[in-house]
Amino acid sequence: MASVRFDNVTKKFGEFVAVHDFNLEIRDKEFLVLLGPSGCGKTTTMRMVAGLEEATSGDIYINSDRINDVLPKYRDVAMVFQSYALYPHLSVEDNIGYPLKIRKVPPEEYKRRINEVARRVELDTMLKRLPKELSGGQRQRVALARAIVRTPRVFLMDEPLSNLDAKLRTQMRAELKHLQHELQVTTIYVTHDQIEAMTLAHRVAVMNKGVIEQLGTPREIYNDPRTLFVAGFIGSPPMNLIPGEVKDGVFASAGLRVVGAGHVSIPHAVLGVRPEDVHVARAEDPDVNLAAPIYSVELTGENTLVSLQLGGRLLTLRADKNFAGQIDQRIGVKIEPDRMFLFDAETERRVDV
Amino acid sequence: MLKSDKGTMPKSLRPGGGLEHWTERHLRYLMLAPTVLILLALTIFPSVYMFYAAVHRISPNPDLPWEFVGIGNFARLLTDAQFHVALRNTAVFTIAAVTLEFLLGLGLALLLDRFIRRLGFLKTMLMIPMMLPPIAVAITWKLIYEPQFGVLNEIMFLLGLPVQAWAGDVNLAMFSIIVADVWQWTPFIFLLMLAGLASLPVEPYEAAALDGASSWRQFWDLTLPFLKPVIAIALLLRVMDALRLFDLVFILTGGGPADRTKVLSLYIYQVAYRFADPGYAAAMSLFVLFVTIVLSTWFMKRMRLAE
Amino acid sequence: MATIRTRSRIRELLLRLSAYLAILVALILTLFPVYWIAANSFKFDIDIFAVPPEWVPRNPTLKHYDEAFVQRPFLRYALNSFLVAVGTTAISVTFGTMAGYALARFSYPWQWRKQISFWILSTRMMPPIVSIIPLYLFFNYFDMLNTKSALVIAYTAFNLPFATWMMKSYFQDLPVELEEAAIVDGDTRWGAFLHVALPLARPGLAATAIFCLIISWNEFLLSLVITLTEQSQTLPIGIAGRVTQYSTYWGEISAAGFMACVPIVIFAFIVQKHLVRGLSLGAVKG
Repeated sequence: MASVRFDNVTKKFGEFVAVHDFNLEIRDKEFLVLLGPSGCGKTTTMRMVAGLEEATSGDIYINSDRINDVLPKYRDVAMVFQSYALYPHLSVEDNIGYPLKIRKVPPEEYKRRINEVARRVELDTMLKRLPKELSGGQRQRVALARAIVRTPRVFLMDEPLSNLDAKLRTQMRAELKHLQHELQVTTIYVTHDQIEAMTLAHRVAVMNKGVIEQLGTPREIYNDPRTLFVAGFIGSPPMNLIPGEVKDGVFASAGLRVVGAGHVSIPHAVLGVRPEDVHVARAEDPDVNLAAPIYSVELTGENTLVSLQLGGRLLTLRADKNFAGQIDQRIGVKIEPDRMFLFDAETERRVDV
Repeated sequence: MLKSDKGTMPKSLRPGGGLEHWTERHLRYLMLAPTVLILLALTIFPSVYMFYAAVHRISPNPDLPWEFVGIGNFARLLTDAQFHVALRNTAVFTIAAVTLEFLLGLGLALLLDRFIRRLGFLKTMLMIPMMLPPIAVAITWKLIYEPQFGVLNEIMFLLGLPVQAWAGDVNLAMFSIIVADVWQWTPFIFLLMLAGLASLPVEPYEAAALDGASSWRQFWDLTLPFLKPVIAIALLLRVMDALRLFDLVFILTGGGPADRTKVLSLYIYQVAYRFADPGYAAAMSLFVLFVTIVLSTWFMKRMRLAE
Repeated sequence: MATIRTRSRIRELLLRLSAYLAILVALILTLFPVYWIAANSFKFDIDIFAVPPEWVPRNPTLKHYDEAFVQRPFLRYALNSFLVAVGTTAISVTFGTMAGYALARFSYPWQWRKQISFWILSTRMMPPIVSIIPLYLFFNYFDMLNTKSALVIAYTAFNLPFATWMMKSYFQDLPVELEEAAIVDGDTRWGAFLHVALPLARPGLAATAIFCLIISWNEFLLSLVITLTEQSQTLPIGIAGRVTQYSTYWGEISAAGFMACVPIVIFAFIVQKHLVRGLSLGAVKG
């Protein structure tokens, strides 16, 4: 039962502005992901909710309580750290029980809750071990158990999966999603991994240089990027971003020509199109948008990434896994006009057509 | 299954409330305050007091008032031949002892680095001298240097060399002090150099070996630059320690013979207590303080030790 | 090719041999003086003066231990040394730990952190002879000469900066997230220090305390000036007092000197892992 609200929050470290005039409301029971590159202010934003950083100006609320001046211990939030931050001198049981002990929970309930949580994360057989005797995945689960044992009002997770290997990460991701659904606790999750953001979030806030670039559901962020930054940050391989010029609805750049942008004109434009929205055609086809020799061919398994050289940069497209083209072979590409985005290079914002 | 058991925060603990909040807010100052206050009392007070004492002539009779003499005591520093002797002895001792300790310690560390890592017990044995009470070291060497029955002269005799008065000999007294100090403090350099060597990265050496650099070149081009911070710290601490030499001289020679081992600490001590002239001793102390502050500040600023 | 390999193998062998030889020589040179004072403390006077020297005591005796610790007040001196060392260590470690933690973790306005760290370190660099005159006059004024409290105060002046710097360096080695986790888990800042940082710094704390004990136990000059009575003098002063202009009581001071060394050697072995850090004031991590 908690919502979190940022009202015009700014955080400075000396002269450096880490978070700039930040406004966001995280709804009750929502799973919100703060996504962005390192140094974008996402972790600082979250640490301000925990009380580990103080806002330089602005207000932060949990429900209707302004928490800026509330000591962390009374905020009733729990946090999972990137390094897990398990107490190395305490057993798994004492690690999980630490928040309860601080709150002077009576012994029977203390025991009951630890057992319950330990079972939930499958650690019930390892309660007496020390953190250093656990594997990476097990440590991660201890950190998680310590966060959920006292059912806080808000979960804060700071890149909790980044120290796991790829396979375990996928598995834990699913676990986390299920857990949040089951516990129905408002969650703020910080990551630089867009896949985590897409798979876990109800809503994603893409951050860059201390401000939110775009806030929306994963689908909106992916299908409807509002800024050049979001367009380039989301998607793997990333969206093709090609600088050029739009004149009366026709985009033109070295060798590439796309019609279908209504009647707009943008002197300095960037065309964005995702690799899966670019299709292979025969070079001789008269209505291709571009014909060029193949620069590289990479088979990923489920499909093939084909790159063409286009005025000093590469245009990547996602072709069928059975694509048989060779390097230097000349092919044509077609871009779906209704799947492309046009950005004004000056404002870095999208231009609707 | 796990129901949230808390509503909003208790009223009494809302912002601005109570001692706990205040303590948390000011913890950074509260935790630092006792140390800063104690050290202020124990350093600033003496320094100020010493300035006050240094501009007075203080009679051994506590009932007599202090007589203001202005910079008189400082002027004496320029003309006092004994002070100049003490200054020179201190400089000779510091330079000779620290240089020897450094060369021996570094040499041993380079030679033994690869072999002693598994011999932790032996290493600790080698560290014993520097932990010992200086006074115990002093009497031990006094026993060894003893002219009549001392073990050193016995060894000289066995080797067919002339026996010496060692600490009692005008020409060997300072040398004897230096040897005892080198015995006690070479392990210090040795230990720090070993620690420095243990933290050297491996890759540059492999690269250098592939490039065909000789071990001598590797030492000059890699080891020495890498060790530089550790060397600086070791030297700083040793120099500061050598400048305050007292215990060894006090026991082994008492500053003699013929003032050959009279160092600054000892002379100040004598002036203050034997000659009962604390005003002048204070002036000399200020001079020593000035020298150490200049030296150590220069060193620490250069090494960014305070970081 | 083969000759090169042989040559390098011979070189390696020579290096190894000379290294072991050097260790052996260094060990002998290091340990002989300590052995010698121990050996002499168990000899009768006549054997101490024997020429050629008696390398191993032929008639071991505890006579000098009886002289020093029963007939003369060396037990009293040792007790004084111990009490002063413990008092100094308790004060220095308590306040030094808090200050070290603060300097390792908190930020302060106007670069205070750097300035204060630097200032504390420079107080450690101050030669004792410098503070001795004002301290003497100060204790004289407050009628505290010849008291153990005066010694504790004087020793704190250089043990407190030491403890602060040591603990600062140990706390800096601890990941800050652990304390942050404790804070989010519901502890106060102070609680995180007490419940998380302090237990984790325990080895460092023990090493720091032992170093403080050693430094205080070994101190000579300040004690020489501040104390003149048997009730307050420490072991080093007691020993020095038996080295007189006219005669030196070799057996007695050997016994007392050796006993002064024993606890130090034991301590040295306990803190061997921390020696480097302790001796470099935390600047070099061994």
